[in-house]
Formats: sequence, C-alpha cells, structure tokens
Amino acid sequence: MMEISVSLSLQKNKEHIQNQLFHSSDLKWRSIRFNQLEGLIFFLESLSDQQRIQKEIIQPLEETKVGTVDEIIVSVGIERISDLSRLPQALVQGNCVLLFEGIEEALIVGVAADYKRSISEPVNEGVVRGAHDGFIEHLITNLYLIRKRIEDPDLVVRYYEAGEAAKTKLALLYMHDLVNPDLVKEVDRRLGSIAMDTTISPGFIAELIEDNPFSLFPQILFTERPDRAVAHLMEGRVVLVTDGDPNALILPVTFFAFFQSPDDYHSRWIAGSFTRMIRLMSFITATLVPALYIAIVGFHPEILPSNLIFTVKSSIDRVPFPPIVEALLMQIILEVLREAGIRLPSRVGQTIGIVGGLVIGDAVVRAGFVSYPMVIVVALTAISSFVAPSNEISTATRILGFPLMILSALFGLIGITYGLLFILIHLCKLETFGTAYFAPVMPLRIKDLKDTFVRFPIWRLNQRPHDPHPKRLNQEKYSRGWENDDPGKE
Amino acid sequence: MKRICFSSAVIFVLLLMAGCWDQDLLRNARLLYGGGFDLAPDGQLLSTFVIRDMPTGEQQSPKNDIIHTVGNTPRETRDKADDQISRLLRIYRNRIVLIGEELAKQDIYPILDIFYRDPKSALNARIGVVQGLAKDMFSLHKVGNVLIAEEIDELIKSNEEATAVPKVNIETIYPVMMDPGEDFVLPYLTIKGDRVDASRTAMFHKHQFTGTLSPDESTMFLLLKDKKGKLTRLTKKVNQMGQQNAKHFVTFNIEKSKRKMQVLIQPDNQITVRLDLKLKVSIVEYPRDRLSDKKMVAQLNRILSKEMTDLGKKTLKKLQEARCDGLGIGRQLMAFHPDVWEKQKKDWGSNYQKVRFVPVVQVEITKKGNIN
Repeated sequence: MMEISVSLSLQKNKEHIQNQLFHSSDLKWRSIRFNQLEGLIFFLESLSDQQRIQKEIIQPLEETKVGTVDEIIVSVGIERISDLSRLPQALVQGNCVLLFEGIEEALIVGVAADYKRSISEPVNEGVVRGAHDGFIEHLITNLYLIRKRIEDPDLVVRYYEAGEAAKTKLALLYMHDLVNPDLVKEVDRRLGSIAMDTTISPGFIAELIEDNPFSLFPQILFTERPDRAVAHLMEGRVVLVTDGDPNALILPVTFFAFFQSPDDYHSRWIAGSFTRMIRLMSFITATLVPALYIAIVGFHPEILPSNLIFTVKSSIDRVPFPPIVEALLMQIILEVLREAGIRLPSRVGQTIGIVGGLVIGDAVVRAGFVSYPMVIVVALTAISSFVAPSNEISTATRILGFPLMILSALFGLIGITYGLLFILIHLCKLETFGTAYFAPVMPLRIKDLKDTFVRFPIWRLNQRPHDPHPKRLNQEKYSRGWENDDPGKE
Repeated sequence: MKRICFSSAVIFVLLLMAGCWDQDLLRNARLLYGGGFDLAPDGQLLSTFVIRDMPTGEQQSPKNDIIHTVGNTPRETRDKADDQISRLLRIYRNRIVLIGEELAKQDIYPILDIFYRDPKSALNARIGVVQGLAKDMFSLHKVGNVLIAEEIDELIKSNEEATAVPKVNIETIYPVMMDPGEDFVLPYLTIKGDRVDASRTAMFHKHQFTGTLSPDESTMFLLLKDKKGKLTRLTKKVNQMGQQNAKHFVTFNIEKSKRKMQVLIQPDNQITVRLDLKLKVSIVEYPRDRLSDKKMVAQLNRILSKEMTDLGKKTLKKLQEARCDGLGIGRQLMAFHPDVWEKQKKDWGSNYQKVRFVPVVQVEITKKGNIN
C-alpha cells in the first residue's frame, strides 16, 4: 500500500480515516485538548475496551494538561507512526488512534478488549486421570498453558500471520535444543507460501501444509490438550497454535501417535499397554469386520463352525438384499445417526438415541431388511471406531472400511487381502515433513517399539522416538538407581 | 486427464460386471448335514441326503429334509438331489457320511473320491459303516428329541471319547487308505429299535469292509493301537461266587495305558509281534468289595490280566481273519525290516494272517474308590 503521511490538518486526517473504514458505524471518536492543541481519539467501539481508554488515556491527559504524551499515557503498548495508511489496520486490531492538530504523527495505543472463556476440560479428549485443562480460543492463554508446563528458555515461540485479507495469528512452538532445524525450516517455508484471503480454522492450515492431502490417513495431530502438546514438544516435534481456535496442530506425527492417549502415561504401564492394545485392535476390527462378514457370508460360508453356520443362516435367510447392500445400508444409517447426533441440540439428542437405537436397530431386523449378525457387525464397527483417542483417525477408520467392503463383495477374502496389502504399502510409503509415517514399524526400529503397540515402563523409555530426528535422543537414564544403593541391602 | 477418466471408468465397470462370479451366498444354500450311500438293487448307487433347514423364527426348532436319489456316481446322485430341491445344495458343512454294509464290501474309494477332489467339501466329517442300509438309519428321522444326522454325529463323538469307536474322519482315513502297510477302521453303527448304537468297529482291508469287532474288542483294539480316549470303562466277570449276578462282575476305568509293540523277525522269516500292554485301572464298581485285602487285589489283578490278555488275543485273531492291518505292522516292517517287507508286500493281506501276535496285558489296580 502506498504510504501517506499524516496531515497537519486534523480534519483531513479524520476524513481520511473515515473514508478508509467506509464510515463504519462502530468507528467512534472523542475530542480532547492537550498542550493547547485540539486532538481526536479514534477507536472501534466493538473492539476496544472503552473503560481502558477512559482510564489510561483520557483521564491522565485531562489531569495533566501539559507534557509529553508518551509519558502521560499509562498503556503498555504505545507506538508513534507517521504513515496514515496504517491507521485503519491498527484500528481493526482493537487499538485506538490519537491525533493532534498540527502534528504529523499519530499515536497508536493498545486498548483491545479481551473477552475469552475460561479454561475448561476439552469435551472431545477427556481422560480418566491427568490434567483437566484445555486450550481455548485465545492464543496468549494457550501459549501460557504450554509455557507454564515447560519453564525452559529453550522453548521458542515464533509468530506468523496467515491470510491476506483477514489475518490469523499463528504461533509456532518448538524446543530449540531438541527440534530438528530442518523441520523448523520446512514448516516455515510451507507457512510462508500460504496465500489465501482467510484461514478460518487450523484445519485450513493443516490442509495447506500437509504432504499428502489425498491420503485417507490424517498426518497432523489435532489436540485440545496442553499436556499432549507438551509431550510432543519434548519429543522434538513442532506445535502450531492458532488464535481463535482451541486446537493445536502437532507435526510431524506417526500413525501410532493417533492411538496414544495421555491416559496411557497416567495409569500404570500394564494398564496403559493393555488399553493401547485394545485401541489398535479396535482399529483393525473397525476396518475389517464388516468386510470379513461380507466375504464369509457371500463367498466362504464353509469357514464358519457348524453350530454357528445354522444360527447365522436362520437369520439371513429372510433378508432380500445381498450382504454388501445390507452392510452399506446399515453403515450409512449409522453415519447419518452420528452426524445427526452432533448437530442436534442436546435436548433432542435423546430422541435420536431412541429413534436410532431402538426403532431402526430393532425394526430393521424384524421387518427383515437386515439380519441380526449384520446389526451386530455394524454396531461393533461403530463402537470400535470411536475408541481411537483422535477424531481424525476414527473417521478415517470408518471410511477405510468402505473400499474394503466393496472389495470383499467383489472378490471375497482375496479382495480383502489385496485391499490390506494396498493399505499397508500406502502406509509404508507415506511421509510427512520428511519423516516416515509408519515409523517405527517401517522403517523398523526395535527400540521405538517400546512405546508403540505397548507402553513399556517409563524408566525403560531411555530414548526419544527416532522419527522426528531430535537433536538429543536420550531422555532418561537410570531413574531407578535407588534400587542398587539401598542402605538396607548388603 | 481424459485417458485417466476413461480407464478408471472402464476398470470400475469391469469390476462391477466381473463381481460375484464365484460368489456363493449362504442365503442361497441348502446345507447338507449328513449323507448316506447304499447299494441299489441294480448295482447303482442309492444316496440319501439329510438337509438341515433352519426356521427363521426364534422359537421354532430346526427340521430335516431327507431326499433319496439313485445314480451311477455320488456326484450324479448329488446333482439329482439338487434338482429336486429349491436353492442350491451345499455340502461344505456336512457332518456325517454313512455307508451301507453291502456297498462297503465293495471298494469304498469311488464314493469318497468326490470329497477329496472338491476343495470346499467338509473333510472333517465323521464317517461310519451301517449295518443294513444307511437309508434305513436316516429314516429314523429323530432319536428322542434330536434330529437323526445330528444324533449320529454327536453319538459317535461321545463314543470316541469313551474309547468305544475309533476317532476318524474323511480326511484322516485318506493317507491310511493309500498306505499299503496299514489299514483303517471305522465306527460300525447298528439300529436298535428306534435308536442308533455306535459301539462297534468296522474293519477294512485295503478299501473293502471285511468284518466287525464287538464293543469290548473294539475298545481292546484301540488300547492296542495306543489310542485311548478320555475315558475307558470295561466290565468283566471275575468270579462265580454267590447267587446274585451283579456280584460276579467288576467294572473298572483304565486310567493309564502303556503299550509297547515290538516286531521281531525269527530266522525262518516268521514275523512275531510282541504287544505289551500295561494298564493302570481304578475300580468303579465291585459289589463284592473286600478290596482292602491285598491278596484279594493281587488275585483280581491276575484274573483281570488274564481276561484282558484273552480279549486281546481274540481281537487280534479277528483282525487277522479280516486281513485288517489296523495296527500298522506293515509300516513297522517298512521302517525296521525293509528286506522282509520287500518280499512280503506283494501279498501282504494273506502274509499278515500268518503273523504271530503275542499280546501280554498286565492289569494293576491303583485306585479302589472311596470306600477302601
């Protein structure tokens, strides 16, 4: 934008600002006298805190009458500029502008109003044990939550602005002594190339910077939990926090990071390992069970045990559709119910439970549209898919089931085998921000398997995961040393 | 871009068109539960198919649909049966195959060939020989409250555990059938009134049915073959004292059985098979009691050893008469005396009858129940 210097005439300046903001109704001004000069305070009443203007600017100026303005005004943020074209931008950020007759400079004072909700537990990522605070829509508060947990000068915060028209403030966080510098450079490069009018949500950012937007698998981990963000920072990963959204982005992450929950580390390691295995098993169940059922009922009924086959048969004999139609029907009903459950206000939510669970679930079988085993299969799939602690992977799981279902309806178990093969090859090939997505399984690193399918005791997790290439690998050594120098022992 | 669109459309359509070529919906199947084969009067094959139909309601019980067809081969009769029923006859969950006595006396391999050739057939189905016609046995429809094919299957299963009949299925007899050094045995089923009895054994030589063993003999045969089931119980007469009949007998469980088989070649090429059987038994019923007396126990051991040895001799004699090498003596010769086998294998059936068996059974009572 072309630079326009502040005019000597107060009237001219006022007209210019009004024109720049198109005579917006919330633009207010107040006249003031100081050093015998006429002055005007401009502010947007929707964004500025009027009490602060009163207390920090008007009151001191009226009381002193004569002196240097900078010294009298008690606000923290104060800036002197001579470029008139920058004033509208300053106003829409919640600052107020001070202009005086005959002075070619404007004063910008930070008096932005600060309305924010209190810190509360994220609804989507509840834990049994552990911290119950979560990110909110206020960037500074979010940074506070992270800084408070890592009181270390090595934690670096870098601000970015995304969006050309409506700018969104972003903060990139990393541990300087751990993070791979190439990673920071790469994230910086990708953030720099964002050319978009608005980036409404972190989802935009994720979509703009992720490596494989066409893959079914999420490659950036969203979290509303500061403890989760901190744990990943301490593994040498990078965290992106956006102003106006409680979701932080963690990158780069592996496939298995989506199945880790803070609960794993808060409970004892045996319980943690057990629940993590349950989660990974549920992933397999959710993707495979409908496909397997279709393949068995349609192609290979002989693999069912004798007693079971007659029970299954008696239930599916009346069903008029082929198994694939039956399965798709139920899966889609389920997705519709899920979606409806989210959108509906909570008072109507109960109705959905009754209509969905009782009416559809039971009536659909009694009417002979769908068989009992299929209802069981679909219910199992749904429940298993919701086990994953990340919403992204849970959706991906259910979507992944559809191609497998179609393959199994076409080719039976062979179709499933090829489908799984394809998925596995894709997973092994996938890279995000220069690190392997399927690590530590591919490339295999035995040491990192300690915290993949199971969680080893923390005093055995001597090294950080290798996949983000942290500068320092060691994170623990011999914390249980007390066992050997026990004075009671010989 | 155009080419990609076109080729993906082609692939998609092809996939949809090609799908289901080997689909075999469970919904469209009529499941065979058991099958029987008999010799029809004109030398053809009479097949019986027992189809299990499940009602769709929850309260009703399953029903059997029994079909008889006559044809030249099992496959032909199966196709004829399929023609007579709605939907498709499927045999992949077949549980039991019964063969009529007269048919079994001929070669049984042609009947079983279809099972081995079809990759989807149920090889773990049980197989047995029926006294008379298999058709008649299936015509019982129900035994008690259990449908016939299921009853036979479950009956053979429980008798296998009681060491009454050999534990075989279609799959396990195949290698034995193809082995010149061993013969197989099958359960032998009889009709008793409106019930089925499965406690005897049908002996085969090569592919032919050649004789049967009584219930006791068939248990003894399994002991000699070292194939004791979970439970083995026998009742033997041990004395004549007193009036009451029940007091003459003792019933015992065989807890542990140890068999030692030695195939010895004498200088005159006489094959001698020593069979040492050591049985540890527990008395489960002996109304005469007095088992606290050690002498009495020793005497009982002696009597039972003799009884069992006699039973063993009788069993082996019957096996030899039926030319059934159920113990696999031929295989022992192949392994340890190949030169002898080379000379004898040509006419092993009759050479087997010249083998001298020396069974020695030692019974030792180790448990006497609660009262002693």
